[in-house]
Amino acid sequence: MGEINERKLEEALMNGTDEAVHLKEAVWANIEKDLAFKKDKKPKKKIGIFKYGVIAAALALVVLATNTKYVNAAVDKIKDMFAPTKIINQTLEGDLEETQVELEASSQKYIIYVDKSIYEIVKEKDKDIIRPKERVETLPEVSMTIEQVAKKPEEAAKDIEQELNSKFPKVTNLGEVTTPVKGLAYHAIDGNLATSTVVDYYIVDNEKGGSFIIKKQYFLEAAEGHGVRFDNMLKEFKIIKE
Amino acid sequence: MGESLISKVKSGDKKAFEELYNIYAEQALRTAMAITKNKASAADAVQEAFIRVYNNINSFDESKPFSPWFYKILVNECNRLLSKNSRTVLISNFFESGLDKSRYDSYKFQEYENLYKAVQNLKDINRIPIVLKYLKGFSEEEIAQILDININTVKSRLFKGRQKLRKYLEILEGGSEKHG
Repeated sequence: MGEINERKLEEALMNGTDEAVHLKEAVWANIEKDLAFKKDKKPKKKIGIFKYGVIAAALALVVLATNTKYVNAAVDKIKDMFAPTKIINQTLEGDLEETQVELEASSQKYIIYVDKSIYEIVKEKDKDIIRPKERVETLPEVSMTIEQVAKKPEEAAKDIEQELNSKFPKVTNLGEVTTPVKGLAYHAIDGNLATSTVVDYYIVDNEKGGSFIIKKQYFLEAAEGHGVRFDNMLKEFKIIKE
Repeated sequence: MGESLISKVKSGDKKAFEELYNIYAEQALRTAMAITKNKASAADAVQEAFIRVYNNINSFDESKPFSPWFYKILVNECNRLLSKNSRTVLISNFFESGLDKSRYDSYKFQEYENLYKAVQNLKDINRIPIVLKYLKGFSEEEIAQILDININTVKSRLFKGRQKLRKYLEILEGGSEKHG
């Protein structure tokens, strides 16, 4: 191979960064919120930024076709197709940790791998909630909720954005993301304290006219703990399609 | 960009600051994404960089070009985030095993895709000068100023960066003659 073609390098960098450009409006909205525009002078106090997210990892959304008519049968079939447990390496708060995760095939028609030594899955009528087994009452809620709704991703996204805007001072529409799942994403935070609540929504097309709504909730200090663990779980999120 | 715009920002003119943002934001987001390798971190970096610009605009010498001053702030923010997120980047590398085609499916051409992957595989020391030169179009002298390093060091890092890109491309395109 000869010299690098500089023109192609320029074009590759432009193509490769196209998706960031869509965040222009969202970033400006946050800058506007953060800066107290005063008539006299610039504000002295800088309000900290919030996290749009911490992990850069891609996930191919795999849609599995089965001939099974019934959900339970489909779930059983899926269980046969995937390893019941996996060992993953994840770096949590600076330490490399080897974790055994277990396959969870949900009646909500998805699979995910969960570290069941730390988390429990609470199954409600229309949704699953993954939450720490041991909870500290004095700390804000930590959970990941997964549910299906009969709304297209764009419609569901509008409702979520409206809800977040009514509850959080800082809401960012991240648009289409490919990590930790492929879908539309929102990020909201209610401050810069260690205990400030962080909510990340992912809206994934279920390819049947509806959506999976995934809501991660944790607090700022737990971003590199629970936040990372949830992201790693989502990397293995796969839809079961009948 | 006219000096008057900076003067207006210095006087606290919100509209002028918004105009400044509109001029620089797109390229800043691209640059930050190429440096941090992450769309969300890019947004973080650009947001913080503009807040710093607004808060520190009075320290900017209007007799000098604005762009290198701004990009110095932006690159510092990117480096700060890279350092902060270095632990999690390791995770993503582990899971992705370096190559995940789904992430790049929007690219028009395989060769661009491979070239961008190759840039992402460069170490920061080589990637950042490459991004500043080929994405933003800064001169070697400006890059030296932004990164606070000697111009000869910039030349060396760019040269070695291009060499490494060639090697990565050979690996990525190995056995894929159709794209050669």
